[in-house]
Amino acid sequence: MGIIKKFLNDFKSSFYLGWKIESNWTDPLLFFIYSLAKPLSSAFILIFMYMIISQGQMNEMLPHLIIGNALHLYTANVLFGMAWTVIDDREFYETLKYIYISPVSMFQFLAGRGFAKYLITTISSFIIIIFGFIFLNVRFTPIASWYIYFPIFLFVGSISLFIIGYFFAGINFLISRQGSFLTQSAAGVFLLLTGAIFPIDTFPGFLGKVGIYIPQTIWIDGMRKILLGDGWNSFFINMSINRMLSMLIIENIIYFIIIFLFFNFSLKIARQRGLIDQRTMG
Amino acid sequence: MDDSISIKTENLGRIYKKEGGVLEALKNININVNRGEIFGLLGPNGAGKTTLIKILTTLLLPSSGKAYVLGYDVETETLKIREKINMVSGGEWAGYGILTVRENLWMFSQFYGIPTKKAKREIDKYLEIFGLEEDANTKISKLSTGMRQKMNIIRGILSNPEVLFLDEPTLGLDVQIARTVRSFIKVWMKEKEGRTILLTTHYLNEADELCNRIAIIDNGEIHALDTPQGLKKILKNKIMYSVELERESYLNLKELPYTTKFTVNPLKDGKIEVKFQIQDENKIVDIFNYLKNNGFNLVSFRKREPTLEDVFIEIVGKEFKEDE
Repeated sequence: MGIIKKFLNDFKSSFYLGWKIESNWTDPLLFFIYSLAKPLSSAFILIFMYMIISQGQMNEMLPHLIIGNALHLYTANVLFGMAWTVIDDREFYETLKYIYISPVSMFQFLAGRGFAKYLITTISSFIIIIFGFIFLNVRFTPIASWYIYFPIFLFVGSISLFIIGYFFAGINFLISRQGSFLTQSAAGVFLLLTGAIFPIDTFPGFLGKVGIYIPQTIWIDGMRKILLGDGWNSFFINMSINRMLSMLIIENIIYFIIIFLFFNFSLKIARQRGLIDQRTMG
Repeated sequence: MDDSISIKTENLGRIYKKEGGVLEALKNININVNRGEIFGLLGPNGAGKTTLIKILTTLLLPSSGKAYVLGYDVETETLKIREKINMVSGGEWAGYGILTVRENLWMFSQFYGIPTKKAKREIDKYLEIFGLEEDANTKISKLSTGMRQKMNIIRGILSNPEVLFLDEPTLGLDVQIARTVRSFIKVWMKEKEGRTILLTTHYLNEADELCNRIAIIDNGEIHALDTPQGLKKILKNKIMYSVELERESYLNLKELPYTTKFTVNPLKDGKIEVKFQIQDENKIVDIFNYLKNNGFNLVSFRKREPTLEDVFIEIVGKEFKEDE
């Protein structure tokens, strides 16, 4: 079997597994209702909290919040979902060791599993954005040629999700039950530092600067710029969309090199220490 | 490496760092497993059997020495090994409960690059052999332990591995299913020439029934390696007895004169079975008298053939207990 055919086959199998795990727990109708209700209810919770904090004066921030929240779903579900796959398959399904000793590469396996989460999150994310435009009076004032930038930015940003996902997956290979705490805490930190909810230029000192170096920050702000126009960006307000795209691509390349090395190193250490099949939960 | 050898280890060692010291799980293991044989690793829990399997299946790196599977180095040539091996472990609950039996098996077949049509054909064949055809579309979370283990055995052989690692494959299974699994292993080995199985077990009868050769392992060391018959020959000059005794519940048999390697196993109704070796057969009457004088009533006795358990006790110097 050729390398590309093998890659696609492995990807397809792990995607199939991921899709089944995400969607096969109930009948299709209930899954459809859940897919609609879950993102909307989480968005509403956030909006109401924001309304209370801002004492009803939140119209200016609403578009910022809607787009940020919709895109943060990707970070929470795809990026941290990939990381969680390691713990789930190792400790809950007890299958990780059988996958590890099969000819499939962990890199491809996690990509397939992550892609299943990606597709489902895309549905949720788009529902929130469309709901915001139609029912919450968020004005769709895109930049010129938005229809070109939107898919490109979505694609490049999605790549960054997978790259950072490998980083946390690599960490989860090395740790045990703390993995769940780490994943939850990191998702909270990402929610804050990527400017999904609060503009990062409102953060004190170095916190805002840390945010710039997370690819998701540029991605989320870039998507805001594409869909809402120039007025809605915070940190990158004076930066053109082309420059933001270049910055995102460069960050992706740098992160990919570092994380690829780290991921392989993690697998090696996990094999050395006998952690591939460890069970620490119950 | 000689083509007739499937697995070879050279001074293989593995240590685990623990709080306050180091645990030596494997010490200078040297084995050659021939193509076409079922090779057994027999030892109690914690003997090092699973650690050895983990190294050979590329799941764990050795701390010292070398290991080769089908001529490939387990440290550096992992992909070549992974294409040709598979593993099934017992006593676990592995599998994606949300998928059906057929879906689980198909998915794993894809990781080995088996074309879907062929995979489906093979899955149907093995489901029928294991009597799982009616449960093919059942989610595996609804299967019993035995059925789940049958499915895992199918997963292990679906890729048609040249070397199959079976780590306690019948652990926790009821007698009937364990017998089905053992029968299948024998048939599978005969089905195609050159297949190799490395089987770890702490069931002595299982090792005796299935294995061409057995290595007795304890505390990370191989203590003996031979055919089951060869191992039993170690005891060819020993006279062995098994006696069944009635006794008051407070009585314990702590010593038995004129005997060596005596073991006591509790039976139903408060009875006990005592196994022992004697050098001089004439002493058997004295032994029975000793038992009677100490409150143990003889129910039955028989002179018996040595088992692998006796061999283990003889070689390792302690009783074979599963919870060690």
